[in-house]
Amino acid sequence: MNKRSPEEGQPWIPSKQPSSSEAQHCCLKLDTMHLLRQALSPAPGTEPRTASPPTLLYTQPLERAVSLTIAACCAAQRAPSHLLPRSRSARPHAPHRRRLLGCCPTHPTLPPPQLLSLEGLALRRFGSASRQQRRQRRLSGGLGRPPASEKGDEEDEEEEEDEDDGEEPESERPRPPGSSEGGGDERHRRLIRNQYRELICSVQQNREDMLSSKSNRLTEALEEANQLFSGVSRAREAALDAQFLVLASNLGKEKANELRSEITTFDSLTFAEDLLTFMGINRTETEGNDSDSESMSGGYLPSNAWYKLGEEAEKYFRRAPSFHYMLGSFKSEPPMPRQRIERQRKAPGGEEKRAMPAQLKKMEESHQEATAKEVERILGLLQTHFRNDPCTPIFFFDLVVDPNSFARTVENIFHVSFILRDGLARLKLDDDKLPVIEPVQNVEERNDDHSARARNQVVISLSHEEWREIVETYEITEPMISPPNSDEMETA
Amino acid sequence: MRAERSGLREGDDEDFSVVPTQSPSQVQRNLESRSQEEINRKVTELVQFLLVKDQKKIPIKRVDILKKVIREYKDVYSEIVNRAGRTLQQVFGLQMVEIDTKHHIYILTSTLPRVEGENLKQDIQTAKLGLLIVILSFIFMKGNSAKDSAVWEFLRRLRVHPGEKHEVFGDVKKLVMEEFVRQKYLEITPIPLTDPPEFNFQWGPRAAKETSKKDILSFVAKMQKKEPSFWISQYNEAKANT
Repeated sequence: MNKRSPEEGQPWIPSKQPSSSEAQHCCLKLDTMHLLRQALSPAPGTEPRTASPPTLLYTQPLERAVSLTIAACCAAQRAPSHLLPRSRSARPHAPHRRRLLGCCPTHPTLPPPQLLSLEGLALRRFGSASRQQRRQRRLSGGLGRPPASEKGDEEDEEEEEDEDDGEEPESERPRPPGSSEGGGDERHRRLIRNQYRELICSVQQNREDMLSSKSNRLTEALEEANQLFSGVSRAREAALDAQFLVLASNLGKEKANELRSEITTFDSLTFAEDLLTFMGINRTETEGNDSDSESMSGGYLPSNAWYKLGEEAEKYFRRAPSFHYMLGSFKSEPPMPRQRIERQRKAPGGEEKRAMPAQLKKMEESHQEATAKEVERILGLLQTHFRNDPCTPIFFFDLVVDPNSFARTVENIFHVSFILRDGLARLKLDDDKLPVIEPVQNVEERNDDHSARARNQVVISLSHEEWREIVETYEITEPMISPPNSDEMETA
Repeated sequence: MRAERSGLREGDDEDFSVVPTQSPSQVQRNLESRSQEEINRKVTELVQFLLVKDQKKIPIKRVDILKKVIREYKDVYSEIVNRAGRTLQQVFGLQMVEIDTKHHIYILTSTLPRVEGENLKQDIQTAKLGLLIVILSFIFMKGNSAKDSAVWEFLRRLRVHPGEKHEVFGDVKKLVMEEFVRQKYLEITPIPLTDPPEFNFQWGPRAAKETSKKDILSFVAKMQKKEPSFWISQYNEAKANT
């Protein structure tokens, strides 16, 4: 900051001609400041101070002044860091830039019409001092020069010394009215600088206080800075003013955010977390398993999560319950008997389905125990027979058919089906494609049958004629399964 | 009033979009021309029609009512509707609410106080209601309108992604953008001059009738274990709304 000494009273001879870009930067800085000040100034009617405008602008051709105003607006979001003053507290550059970025929260890029009005504003601000300026203003008439501004932006990376040095000779030329020359001027400037620094310091210290929506401190500070600015004629003070403005605008933005957030102190993130908690999320200890982005909470959401939430939600709605017929339409069959039948015929074994048509039989509850006993008896019979003759499966019809009674035959088939269902016996077709039955020997096999092989359901129908035919064809003379009342065990 | 009707052709292809406005005396006279039995039958039909139509929660148009139920009894339309409304209220605790006065579209809402008890029938509609209340809460707390990107961002945190098939909801995007909109729970309007097109989410008329800002605020408060007055501006808005 103290690299240059020209303002200590010595005449300063520029090492090189100040380039237009340097001048642009100076204008940029001041324009930005002015525009921001305007944007942040509390009362709409405050007229810009007409007393002593900053001096350097007016030597520039008008177009450049105009374009710089535009550049100021653009630069408001892209202010090069070196433009901003290095204060004693030596903040790094980047935050300045960011802070200045934060200054214009609502207008990241201003379209030309707005630029024009803002530039008019800027011109009005410092257009009243000199005749020259008035001439410039007449000439301006609302020109927008985006291309020039782009050029100005490109040449942003200039050294501070050059730019500051470039400022000096220009600031010498048009004397701000009302300011004295020489030492008094210097003291005055030092005073202004001190005041600025104090102001900046106080704003920084009382940040929290200023942020509070109830206080007007920020406005007051801005007013004070406005007043101080009226005495500013040199870049150094102007730089301090810019620094303060950055600070103030930053605070302003935060205040605005807070204002908005009063309307929505609603944190959707925590709300989402709370919802997940309500839904019964099972949060895992380890994080980062699938937290790819934005700290999504890990955890396992149970399958009834949304149902639980919906159940809670119903309390807040006056929803008419949906109207549904309880029993459905007339066309469907009554479900109850169907279930019973399924239980009966669950797996009459078999690797292939039989082609015989179905005949439904009803199970009668009263004979439940008797059935079970019968089934056991038949199973015993089957196993006994098999023990005697292990390798030959029994021909199915030999087993079940009772040549004397059709009814008994049917009953036998019924009982055998239980055995098959329980997997204690197996029904298959032998080489002649005739059904044979054999008990299932070991437990594993039984289990395998249950799980691995698909349960095939077969429904057998038997008419009286068929039964008679079977008896004749297979020449069955005696029933293998004795009638229940006799305890004799007969072998085939 | 008879003159209005004269413009209409008799028969099945009558124009059902126009309901003759009738004075009560006119209605009375019309009523007398029909038997009580017939009228009651029509009332019952209308009640059944409304109940069935409400199954999918799609609002019922008056045009449909006239065309499918009332038909030739148009002249006593108002009487039939009134009686049907009474039946709905007395028997089922439901009421017919008009959500679109221009096109005469109705929904059924419950007038019974909500019972603190376990919901015996928990089906996919329950789950969908959970999703809906979450969206409605978000919209309300964000100032009664939210951009679709914000809504989906929020839903993402609840493991609901528009592009993925959700295990409960399936095609969530379709559910939210089509079904909820058709049911008039949500109102989704495109924001002009945006490319790719963005949408604005707001409460639909059915949501406004079936629940209230106060209710939704209490829901949010319950979830976050805070008092509803914690959110000052929403609280005031909810209070002003009742």
